[in-house]
Amino acid sequence: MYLTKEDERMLSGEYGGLVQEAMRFLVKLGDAYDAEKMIDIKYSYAYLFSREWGKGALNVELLEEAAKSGVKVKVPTVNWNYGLEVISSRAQKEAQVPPDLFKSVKKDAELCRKFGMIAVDTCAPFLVDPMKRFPLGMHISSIESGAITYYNTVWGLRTNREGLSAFLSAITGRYPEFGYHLDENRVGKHLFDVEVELKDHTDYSLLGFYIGKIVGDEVPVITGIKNPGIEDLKAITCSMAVGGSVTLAHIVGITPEAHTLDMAFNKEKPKEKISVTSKELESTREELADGKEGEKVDFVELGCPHNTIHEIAKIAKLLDGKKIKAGVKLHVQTAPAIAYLAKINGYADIIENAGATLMSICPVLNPGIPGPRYCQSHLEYTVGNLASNSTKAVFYGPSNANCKKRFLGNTEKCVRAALTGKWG
Amino acid sequence: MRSKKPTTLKGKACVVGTAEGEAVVINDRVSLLGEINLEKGLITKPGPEYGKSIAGKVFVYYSGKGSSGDTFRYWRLQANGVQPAAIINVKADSIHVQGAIVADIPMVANLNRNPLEIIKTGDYVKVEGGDVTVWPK
Repeated sequence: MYLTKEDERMLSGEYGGLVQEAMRFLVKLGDAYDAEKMIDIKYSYAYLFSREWGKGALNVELLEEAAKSGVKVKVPTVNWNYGLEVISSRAQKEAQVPPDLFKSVKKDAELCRKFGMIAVDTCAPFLVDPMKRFPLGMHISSIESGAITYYNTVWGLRTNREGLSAFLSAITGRYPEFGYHLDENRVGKHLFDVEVELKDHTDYSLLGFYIGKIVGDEVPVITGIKNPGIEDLKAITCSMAVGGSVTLAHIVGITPEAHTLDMAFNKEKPKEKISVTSKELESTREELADGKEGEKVDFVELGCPHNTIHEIAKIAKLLDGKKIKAGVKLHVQTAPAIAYLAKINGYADIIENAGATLMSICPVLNPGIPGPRYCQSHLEYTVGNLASNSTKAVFYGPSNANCKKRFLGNTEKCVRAALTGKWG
Repeated sequence: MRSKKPTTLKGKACVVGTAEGEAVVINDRVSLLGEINLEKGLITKPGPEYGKSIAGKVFVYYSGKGSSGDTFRYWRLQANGVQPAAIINVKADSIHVQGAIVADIPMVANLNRNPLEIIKTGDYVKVEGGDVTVWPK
């Protein structure tokens, strides 16, 4: 791979051990894909997760030493670090995070600040950081499968599916040129013509999951979607990365690179053309949710990915003056910044007075209970029967919440389930 | 175990290394989040391989999918001493490549023949850089 003089300096250790190991990692990653060179990235959405780091050349001692010696991120970087510190004591109690884990979360928050990162603590950073200066096609590095797909699809930015690499590219400002950074990999492959009318963002979530399953990691092109809202686009992009491993989709008329079908396919022919009717959405629902009408619901999750303030306003309206059924849990998940808006607009009070909890953490990511770490080592634990308006929440329900039956329906139906304790 | 004639495949070494072991094959994409028990290295993904261990095995699957946190999950499998000896994928997902880099697990992808058609669970497999040798069970 071609490296600039500055890349070589980073690699030689001139800027310290962490930058050196970061560059080594990025070169290895580039070599795995035969990248020809490194490119500048202009923005990053990253996590640190220092307690998950192993004991190799890249390790926590190196990380702490770098933070101490003043190493900073080279580009504007937002980070996700659970959002446990800023939420209410009720939410903290609800998330049941053991003190030792809570301590490591706090330590990471401090490290992130030292590196010059800004905590957004949300899986949907695009809701709280509009990145005003971005030009079309800007190279970034992003974690979080749903956010990655949103950035590529809705904003026309370029990122691969990043993990640790997002942080490592933020402190070097560099990333190997491969994958979705290259024009040739952004060409559409499959055509989906949506014939069914999508009534709410749960329908978009079902559609996304269905498309993801078919295309895997290839680029779908979607036509027939009319005037989607932010909630709809958030739902479809996120679920394509759950059903499959989609990084970019061209939603014709929405995606900046795909004003027309010709642009989306770069004048090439699609591999296949699939018409989506209500049948495909219903079979996707049946595949993910085995719960039947009238059955008991124990745990309701709304906000996967995190809710917009508009969705929270809607949930608050549905809950206003009511109480959720005793024994049932309703988690309303959002970014801390949006939780603050919910607070000053009175929605937080309505939600909490109804017996529900407004929080940033969710079972997919919770270091406490329910979460993957706890649930995998405590198979006797269960949240009971789980309901959500999101295919992602339902898909990960068995592994991250040890749920029994699963229900998938729109926001109104989920709130009704929380109020009555029954699906229907 | 090695009485039958071996088959050789050639691919791209995403993480260069040498390893060998019994194969465990999942004919699908795999998300470590939700489909692998990280404490014990057991497959929890529904299917014929459900309940089998990937620890010390040559783990063969189509590609990664889902959570970007999977980078850390190969590290966690390593910390728990239950990481696979090597990884063979049809397509290399960047998240799983990163996991293999940090946990130092040899990984091969983009092979000249489909490994899912050639390698069966229980076969003995050796990985050397981009070269894969398979001894049928």
